[in-house]
Amino acid sequence: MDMAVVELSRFQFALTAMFHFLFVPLTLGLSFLLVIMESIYVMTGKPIWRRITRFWGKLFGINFVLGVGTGLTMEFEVGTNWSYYAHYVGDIFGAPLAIEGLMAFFLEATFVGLMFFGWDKLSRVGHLAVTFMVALGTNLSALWILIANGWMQNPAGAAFNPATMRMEVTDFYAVLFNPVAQAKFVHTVSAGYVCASVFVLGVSAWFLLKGKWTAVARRSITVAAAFGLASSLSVVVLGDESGYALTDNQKMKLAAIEAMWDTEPAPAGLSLFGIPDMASHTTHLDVKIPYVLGLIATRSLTGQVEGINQLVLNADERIRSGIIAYDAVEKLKANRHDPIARESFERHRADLGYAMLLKRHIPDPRQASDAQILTAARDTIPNVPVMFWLFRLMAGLGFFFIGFFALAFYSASVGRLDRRWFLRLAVAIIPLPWLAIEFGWVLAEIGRQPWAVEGVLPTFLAASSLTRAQVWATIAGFTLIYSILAFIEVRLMLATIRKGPVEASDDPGSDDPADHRGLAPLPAE
Amino acid sequence: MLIPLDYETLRVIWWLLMGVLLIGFALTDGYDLGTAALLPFVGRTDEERRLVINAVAPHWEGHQVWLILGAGAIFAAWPFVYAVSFSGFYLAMFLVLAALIVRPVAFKYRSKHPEPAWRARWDWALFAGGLVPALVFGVAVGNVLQGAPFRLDGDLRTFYEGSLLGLFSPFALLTGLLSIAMLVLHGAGWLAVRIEDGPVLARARRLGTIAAIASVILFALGGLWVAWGQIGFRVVGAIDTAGPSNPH
Repeated sequence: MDMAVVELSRFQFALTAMFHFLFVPLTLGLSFLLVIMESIYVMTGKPIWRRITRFWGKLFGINFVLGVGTGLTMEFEVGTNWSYYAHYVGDIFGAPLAIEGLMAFFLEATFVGLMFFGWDKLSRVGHLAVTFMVALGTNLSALWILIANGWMQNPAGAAFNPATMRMEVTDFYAVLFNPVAQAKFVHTVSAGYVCASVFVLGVSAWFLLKGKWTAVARRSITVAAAFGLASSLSVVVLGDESGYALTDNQKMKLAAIEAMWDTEPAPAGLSLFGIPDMASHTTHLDVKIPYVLGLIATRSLTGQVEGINQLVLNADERIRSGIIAYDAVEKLKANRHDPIARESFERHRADLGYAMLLKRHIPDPRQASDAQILTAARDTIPNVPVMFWLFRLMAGLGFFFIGFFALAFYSASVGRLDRRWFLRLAVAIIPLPWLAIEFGWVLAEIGRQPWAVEGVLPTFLAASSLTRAQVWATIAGFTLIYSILAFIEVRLMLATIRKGPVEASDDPGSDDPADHRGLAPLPAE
Repeated sequence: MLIPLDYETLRVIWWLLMGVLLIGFALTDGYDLGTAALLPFVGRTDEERRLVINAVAPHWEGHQVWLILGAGAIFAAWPFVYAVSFSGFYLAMFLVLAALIVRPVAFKYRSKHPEPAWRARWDWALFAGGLVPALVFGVAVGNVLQGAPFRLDGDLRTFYEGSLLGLFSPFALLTGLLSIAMLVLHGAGWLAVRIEDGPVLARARRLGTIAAIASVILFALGGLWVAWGQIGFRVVGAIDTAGPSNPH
């Protein structure tokens, strides 16, 4: 394997996935905010709520199309850049992706057109049902993607078949009801709801500061504050720490987040501050709150949270066991019916992936020295300082949002939306949820390293046999296309916000094509 | 896991499904690809182009799902085919992807500003978004007929031994042109049904006729080439029908 191709492919995937996830959270959250706003319109019949729904719907449309466009990239990249991964685990990983296309994508693609074109053609309740289907579709889409991603973190319900040299499904229900996937789904969509609430609140606050569209802005703030408060509580309370006790890699992730080098007596303390040092396996200036980590991670006073050094010893043992499995697979390749090899494979199959970690240091893991095994075991430690600090930034932002929405909810409830410092704050923090969300993804995926699929397939083996030039070419291509698209998107969003919630009827000079000589309106107008 | 069907039956069902999905894609998204490729030629003024775009705008999202489903189905049912073809045709796949990212954005954003320069740029994006996938998909079919040069190692890792230019062999270019001609014909037919009268209809009809004649000629040429030309690979060794392709 050319490690440069692996690193470039990782960089490209991170680039495209993180770009895609600039648009997804707003889609997830805004779709449900639209459902709430339109429900109020249907229930009260007041035209202002229709205007509110259509205004945020317009912003939803500008954002939605980029989410759809850039989402295709990852499905392609699994084949183009991670083809060994596609072969090795496609039997499991492909299924949720296909179901996502079948169920969720069909739903949202069919109904999103109706949502934009159907305002005058459908009944009120009919249109609300359409908006709801769009929200359901986008959220279901997230569910299937996170089932696929959750499986990479905790590969339940699958086993390696030496005859086909790939992982195969043994229990599809275990794949579906993977606890890591469920926790991730709730955490991720809640984060999307927070993001959209901050966005709606911030933009509305800007209207209030300018003294424009105040009726629309006040009502939008009320909805966003209530929805945001509920979501920000759910994103923190239902954080995905519940999955951290499940597998060695998840345990390692937790230990890295806490920079906990050695196992502590239960219940372990939670670090507030520290400077983790990868070389000496220590944390300088560590400030801890006693007991809290043990309580969160194990939900008990006696459960132990394992430290990094102990987990490295585990990995060392599993690599040695994995070498036996690897040897058995090689023998089965020569003779499929070798009963001794079959028996030894069955006993050590769970650790096969660990032997493959050695391939980074030696072509044949069976020839590995003790030193190489230890190096490979140390490879299972992710980048501790990055994990430690990103988690603190993400969680800190999470708690900040709870406080912010509590204040917003209170202000909206008592009718005190005139405090200018609060409105300015609401505008200023608009980028923060995106930051927290991207931190969360980096945390989840850096924390999974060195694995593509934890315990099953190391990342460096998952990549395609490409050349550096090929990957550089596509990185350059994506950077160019994505920069242009991002630039245009932000400008369109800002222009639409500046124009405000105008309707075609009260602005005859507008560029609403519905006004132009009887031509049908164009999309998303 | 309990599957009430045996593997052989499932395999046939998935072959059928795959056929339905890919034909569904060609039928539905074919309208959009063909129409977009025709856009600068059938629509001369902004108003005419809006007429053309409106003929597909409410439908393209639903149509594109066929492609995503088709790719998803290949991945779920034949991960190996997915792995070999997507990594082997690496840069060609990027071209398709770039076109498919820009196309929806062009549909949505074109109408957001009235300036002619803004709209002209999106019109070219739509044109490329229609033409490039039509060409590359055709070239891909040609390459599948010819066979793709790849090898496997003992861990079933694939190594592609062709190049981007190698994909565009004369035969593959022929199938690529045929694909463009057929999809343009398809798009012109869609426009002829959707648009009631006027210069756009007349141009769509004329271009459609040309595309129809081109399709017949190119298809016949391709048939002759396959029959008498030396294309593709031949199986020379014995086939092991008891190979472990089944999951159990």
